[in-house]
Amino acid sequence: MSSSSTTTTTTRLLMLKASDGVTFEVEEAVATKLGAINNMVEEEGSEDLICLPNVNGKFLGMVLEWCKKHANNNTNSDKGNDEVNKWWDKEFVMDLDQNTLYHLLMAADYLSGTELVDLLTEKVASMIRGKKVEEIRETFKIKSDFLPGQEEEIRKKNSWAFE
Amino acid sequence: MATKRVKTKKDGVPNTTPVDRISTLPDPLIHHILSYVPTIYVVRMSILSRYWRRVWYSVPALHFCSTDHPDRFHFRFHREREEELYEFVIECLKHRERSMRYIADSAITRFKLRIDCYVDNPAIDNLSIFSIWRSVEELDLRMRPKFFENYYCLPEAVLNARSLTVLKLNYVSFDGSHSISLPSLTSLSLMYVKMNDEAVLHNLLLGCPALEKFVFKYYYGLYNPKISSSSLKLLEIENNYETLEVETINLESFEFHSECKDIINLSACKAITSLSLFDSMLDDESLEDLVYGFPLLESLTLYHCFDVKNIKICGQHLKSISLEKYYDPGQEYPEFTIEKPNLVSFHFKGDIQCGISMKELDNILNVHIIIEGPFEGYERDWYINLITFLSKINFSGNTTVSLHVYSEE
Repeated sequence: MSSSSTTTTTTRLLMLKASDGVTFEVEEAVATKLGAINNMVEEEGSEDLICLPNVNGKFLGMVLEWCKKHANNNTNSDKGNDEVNKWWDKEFVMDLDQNTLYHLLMAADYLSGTELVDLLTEKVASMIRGKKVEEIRETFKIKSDFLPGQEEEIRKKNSWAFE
Repeated sequence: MATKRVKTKKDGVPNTTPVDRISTLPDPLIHHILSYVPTIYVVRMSILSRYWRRVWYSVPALHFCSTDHPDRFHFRFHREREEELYEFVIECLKHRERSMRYIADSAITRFKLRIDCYVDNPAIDNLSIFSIWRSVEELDLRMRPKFFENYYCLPEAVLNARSLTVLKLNYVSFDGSHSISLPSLTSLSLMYVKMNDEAVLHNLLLGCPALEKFVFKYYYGLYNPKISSSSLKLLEIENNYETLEVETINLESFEFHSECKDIINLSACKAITSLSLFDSMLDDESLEDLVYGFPLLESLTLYHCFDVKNIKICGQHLKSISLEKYYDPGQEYPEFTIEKPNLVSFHFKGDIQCGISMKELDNILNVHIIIEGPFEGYERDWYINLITFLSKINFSGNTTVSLHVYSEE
């Protein structure tokens, strides 16, 4: 941040290009919340267009939306903003369907958005905690590939965990 | 997409067949997710599919808590249930130990155990036989006894776990009977800990030569503790005692919660850049002396210091000051004078009767003020007080100020 009295907006803009060709123009300060982009900016320096062949435009857009919110809220270093961020995060993950959650998590992980990965993994964990195995199977549509009787055998062997 | 709502998305691709997405996530992400899930669920998930069976045998973080599963472990003074939890923990470790021979990279590196209100000694001694102590990097033990005298003594295997980097202990007792050697430990947090005497603390710190962060709260048995470590960078202490001596030449950040008036000896800590005092009972002179003692101080936080009357804060390198002060009945309103600061940010929270004045300001950038509104309506006097309060602060030209007023109205 410049400390001169004429606060000129010298924030650099970056172009991010998703796998489907969709491009996003974002402020550097926002995009560098993602570790991967931060590294690219530091290494390559002058390059303004960054191609992200592993991320679809829809999910890149969502990741950037999250970054933007957090970058804005973090400019005033106030503890009250933690609350705002938490509330906003809760809203952000509230109604995500599993397909979106999966792709978003993969995108966040690929882009090294550590905080966003934490948020999304915790969301998945909340869908597991306190649930019965059958409910978990139903929620995530996990198919059993055990041989007939094998599941029952494992269940017996691990009866100490199921009682 | 396994949600019940079957929607047609904007891009025209209909969501029809539900797909198992979670089982296709890369291992590190699965492990990350399961680090938030109590181990009992991870074990149970092993009957979902072969993949999930392997996941249970390779997940690096285990955590157990007496409240994980209300029907099973939730005990309050129920001895049988208590034993059931220990048996469960031991069973899990046995299974993992056996499988380690077949599955590569399946060492347990994080272990968390929380037991609320146990009656007997927690059976951690029985865990000493497991090889987990040779691989564990993060250990978090919080075992709250029903009776104070039951404070638990750690077995030697834990106190000599060479791979340990992060250790959090609650409600344990150090009686000095074991030698301590934790060469990789960088972060140590002790809460509600009992120590026989000052020498026990000294030996503990000697056994942790790489320690950088030390959080030490609510300990019993110590009256004049001395903290010495040449590696320590961050220290947080919360307790009342007679005297405290801190001899840590590389300490950068010190946070101290205490209502004691007595002597804190920090003279050896010249490298401190960040100092936070909470509920301090130090008088103006002792407080000023303390602050002057740190030539490199960049950040200062004073939270509700009781005995401040008229204090001058002065520091060449101070970049950020944070004050919080409310009116104490029967006391005068304090005056803060801040001189020649190179401040970048200034925070104040409290009531406007406190006087704050800044002299010879060069470049304050960010001022954040939260004040308590009046108790009986916004009368004219209150606004006059507010204006007086603000005018004393003496902002320079390029300052951004944000002001929040909290009130019951």
